[in-house]
Formats: sequence, structure tokens, C-alpha cells
Amino acid sequence: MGCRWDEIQLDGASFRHCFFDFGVFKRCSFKKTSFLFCSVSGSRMEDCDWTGSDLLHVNFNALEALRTQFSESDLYFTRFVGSKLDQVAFVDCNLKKTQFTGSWLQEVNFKYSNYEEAEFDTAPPPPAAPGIAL
Amino acid sequence: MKLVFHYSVENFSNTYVVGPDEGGDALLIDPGVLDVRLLEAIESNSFDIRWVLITRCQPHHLRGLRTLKKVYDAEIYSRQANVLEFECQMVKPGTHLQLGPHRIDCLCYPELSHDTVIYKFQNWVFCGDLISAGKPGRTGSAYAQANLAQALERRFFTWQDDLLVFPGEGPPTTLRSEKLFNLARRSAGLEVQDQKAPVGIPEEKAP
Repeated sequence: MGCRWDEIQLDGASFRHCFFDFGVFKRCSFKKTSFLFCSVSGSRMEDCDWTGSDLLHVNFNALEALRTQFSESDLYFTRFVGSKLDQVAFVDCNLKKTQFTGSWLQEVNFKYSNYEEAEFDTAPPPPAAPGIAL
Repeated sequence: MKLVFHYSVENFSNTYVVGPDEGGDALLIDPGVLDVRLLEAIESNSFDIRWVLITRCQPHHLRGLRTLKKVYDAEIYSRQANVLEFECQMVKPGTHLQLGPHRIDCLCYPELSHDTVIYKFQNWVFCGDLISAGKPGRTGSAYAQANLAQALERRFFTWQDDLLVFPGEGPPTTLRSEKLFNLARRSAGLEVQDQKAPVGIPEEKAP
């Protein structure tokens, strides 16, 4: 928890029930990874790529993400509660039951995604996560 | 100590099994289902389920109990004296259970429901429906929701930050994360602060 990840490549890696909270992720590649039931809450992410990943039941609450790709990922039941997402792509994702409650979204692309039973509502931007500054 | 996790796609609920690394007597929290996958997980770890802890007497926490009792001779602990057709050891608020080598603290939250109890074990909290990641438990009215938010404030968010929280539904979380970002705190207008909370569980008086 609270780690700084700069230009880390973990393509194809598999994690289950792991805690990565309050981390800072910059220019990382997590393509085709599996992060089942992991917790990444309170983290900051910039220029990261999660394309084609299994991100079921992941706790991304209070995430601050900038220019991040989640396209072609399965985000079933994943939480982005109180998050701040800017230029984030969820193209062709499974967003069934994904929760964006209290999140602030700007230039977020949901093209071709399944957002059946996904939860959205409006809220002011969340306070900054107390991680390490980018 | 090993924690085995199982997700039920029927109930959208989580079941947890805690047992020794080398196998042996284990405890199971919330038997929402007992299917082949869970049974295989228990058996492959050489666990013998001796104790069942129930966080809330609702069907999505109990559906697997009958099957479980056919396979394992487990004692059941819950806030009620009877669950389904089984007798239970009633859990009292603010007490602890000594199950083999495990000391488990029990805390009750009548603000959510009369039968809600959560279990703290080492630095793990199995909180059932009390919270799920980022959100408080669901109650029937705005008044009850406000009551629950107060109870969480007084008797849950006061614990130490490094606790790992395993809810009955949804992904795991940490207490630090919930203190900072849970909507119960934000809707109550509480300022988000990242500071060390007092260590230990606040005392509760048994009725």
C-alpha cells in the first residue's frame, strides 16, 4: 500500500485479493492482467493502460485517473465510488453493476460498453487522495 | 493463517473461510452458498469447518447452511438463538469468542438491523452488510441511514487504519480507505481527514 509505480510493465500478471491502496501509478502497463477482488482505492493513475483486463470486483474508490485506458476490460461489480476520472476510456467494456456513485467524470468514453445496472450519479469532485504527489 | 474467499454468483455475496496454513479446524463466515467450488477450496486446504459465524440472518448469508451442516459438524454463532432449523450460540455485543486458538471480537450494530454482528479477527474485519467498499449498509429510511452513519462514526471508524475489511458484498477494502472515502462520512458532512485513529476497539456494554 502507498507504493509508487513508475513505468512498470505487468502485462498478463494475475492478482487476487491483493491491496494496492493509496498508490501512485504513472505510465504503467497492466494489459491483459487479472486483478480479481483487489483494492486499489485512494490511488492516482496517469497514462496507464489496463486494456483487456479482468477487473471484476475491484475497489477503485476515490481513484484519480488521468488519460487511462480500461478498454475491452471486464469491470463487473467494480467500484469507482467518489472517483475523479479525466480522459479515461471504457470502450467495449463490461460495466455490469459497476458503480460510479459520487464520481466526477470528464471526457470519459463509454462507447460500446455494457452498462446494465451500472450506477451513476452526480457529485462534486472528491477530495484529493492522500497518496504521494504525482 | 490462511483466508479463503468464495463469491456466490447467485446471491452476489461473499463467503470467507479462515484456517491454519497446514489445514485443520477452520471457521467459515456467512455460508451464502455451499457449492462444488467452495467445497473443493475447503477440502484442498484440508480444512475441517468447526465454526460458522453469521453476520446477519438474511437468506443471502445463509443459503448454504443446510448443505454445510450435512457435510460438517459445525457450531453456529449468530445474533439469534435459532437460524433456519439450527440452534445457535448467541453472540452478545462487545464480547469475544474463543474458537480454538482464535480470539474473535464481536460487535453488534442494531442501527443496521437487530441481528447484525461483525467479527474482528487479528487485523481482519468481516463486516457483512454493515458497509461495502465506499458505501454504508442499506437501511429502510433516511432516519435509519443517519442513525447508522452515527453508529459507524462512533463505533467503526474509530478503529486503527491498517484493518483489512472484508464485506459481505463487493470487493475488500481497508479501514483507512473507508474513513477517507465512505459515502456515509461524506454525506454526513464530516471533513475528510487522514490521521491516525486510536488503536483498539471501543468498549460496548452488553444489555
